[in-house]
Parts: sequence; structure tokens; C-alpha cells
Amino acid sequence: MKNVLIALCLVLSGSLFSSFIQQGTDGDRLLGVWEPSNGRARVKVEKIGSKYFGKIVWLKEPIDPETNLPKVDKNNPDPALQSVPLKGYRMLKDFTYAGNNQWTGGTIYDPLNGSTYNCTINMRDNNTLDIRGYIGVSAFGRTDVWKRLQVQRN
Amino acid sequence: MWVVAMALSIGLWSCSESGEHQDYTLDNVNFIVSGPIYEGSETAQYEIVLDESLRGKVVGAKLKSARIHASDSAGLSMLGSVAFSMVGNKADMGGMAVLNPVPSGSSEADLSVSAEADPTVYFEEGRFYLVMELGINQDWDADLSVLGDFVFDLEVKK
Repeated sequence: MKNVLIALCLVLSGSLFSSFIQQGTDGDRLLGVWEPSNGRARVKVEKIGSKYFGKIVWLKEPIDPETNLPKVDKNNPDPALQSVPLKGYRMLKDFTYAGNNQWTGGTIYDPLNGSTYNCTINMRDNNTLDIRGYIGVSAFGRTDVWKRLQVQRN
Repeated sequence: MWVVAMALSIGLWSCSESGEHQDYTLDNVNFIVSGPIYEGSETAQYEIVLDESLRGKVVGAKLKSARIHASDSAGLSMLGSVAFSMVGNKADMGGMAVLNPVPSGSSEADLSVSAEADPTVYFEEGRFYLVMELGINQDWDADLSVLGDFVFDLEVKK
């Protein structure tokens, strides 16, 4: 009986461990450079700690015509941070992998108006994301399709 | 990539009704980006594990100052801008300070600290990341290292 219990424990702990590892690698499929449907920016997803973040690494129009300088986050509600460059700005923040090709719990920032929205990311396939931004309830939101810049095989 | 925090809290104590205030100082935090590095934006992160004596005792925190300085003769010449954020595995990321542009020819510079930013949640969590977003203005074949000095005002339970 004792041997059976030990064997059962080993099987269970092994299964838990492999599921943990699987979750990490599955979530990392989000890493890479993505382009929103409007083609005006490119966003690189990185991992910090156990969460995923996306920063702007390329802008179609990097210069602010009003200042003739590189664009900054001039609509940030915090005046002290309005000089943060948009290139390098993290517009996707704090996503965790929830399984089933979904990353949840994060936010998306719109530098055009300085607003932050709740956001979920759904990976249709390895090269396509549905990015849904919403306020309050997910049903009242908008979905944008992002494409991976460097195409990977499915 | 992370390395173990080498900084220690050094107390400048004062008292209030809810807790005691002390400075928490992080000196020479080494933010490293592996080369080669290309013009654009690079992220460097550094994990802080709060000392056991402060775990569960911090009830308030404020960033008082943030300064960067060069670790070699190249100075800060490669940097166009620096944005400093903090994040925990639970606590959401928050912007803390920025320097844009980095003064040319300087070997050290102070970041403008946000008065609205509240890093209390990271100290409550006890383990968090300092994140530097470095605006790189030229290609570079080697690793890049930038040192950071930070002073926080902590309110600690009596």
C-alpha cells in the first residue's frame, strides 16, 4: 500500500511539474515583434519576471510635427512622465498566460489620447493576435488584429 | 536576467503616527544590456529581493531620487533617453522617472521623478524588478552597462 501511495505521489508531482513547464513555454509564444492593423507602429513583446509587456520599437511617423523632435508621451496623465519617448514605450503591460492561447490581466495604452484600457490577447495562430481593449466589461470593447513581423511556421 | 541585489537599507529615521520613515538606498545597481546593441530601445532589468527585516512591514514608499552614472570612460554618450519603471510579479508596472534627453557629454545625470508615482505595492510584495528603458543613439559592439542610484522613503510599521 505504501509503495502504491509513493508511486501515485511521484506521478502526480511529475504531471504538475510538466504542466508548469508547458505553461511557461506556451506563454512565451507571445514573444516577438508584432504590427497592429494600422501599420503605424511595431511592438516588441518581452518578458519581465513572469509577465509579458509590449513596447513600441518602431513608428511610421517618429517625429512630432509640432516640435520637430522624436515623439514623446505628451498625453500621459502624469505630467512628470510626458517626456518619456514613445519609441520604447510599453503600451502592453502586465499580461499573464491563462492557457488556451489567451493572455489576460493586462492593459493597453493608447498614446494618441493617453487612455489605458483593460485588454485580453488571443492568439489565433502563431502569427496572428486578436487584441481586445475594453473598459469594464469585455463585451464593450474593440478588437484589433496584429500580425507577427517575422513570420514563423505554424 | 537578474542578479541579486547588493544594496542595503540605510536608515535616516523619523517618526509619524502610522510608522517610522527611513531611507532605502540602492547604490550602483548595474543595468546591463548584452551586445551587440543597435540604435533604438533596449530594456535592462534588475531584480530586488527585499531584506527579511522589511518583509511585510512597509506600509508606504516614495521614490526620492534616481540617478544614473557611467560605468566606464564611454560615459553616457550612447544614451539619448532613460525611462525608469518598477514592476512586481503581482503588482502592475508603474512609471517612476524619466530623463529625456540625457545631457550630452555627461558622466552622470539625475532623472525627473514622478511625484504621483507610488511604489508602495512593490515593497509590499517584497520582490520586484527595476526596469530601465534605454534609448540608444548609436550602434555598439560590446555590452552596455549603466549604473543607477536610487533613494526611497519608506514608511515602516513600528
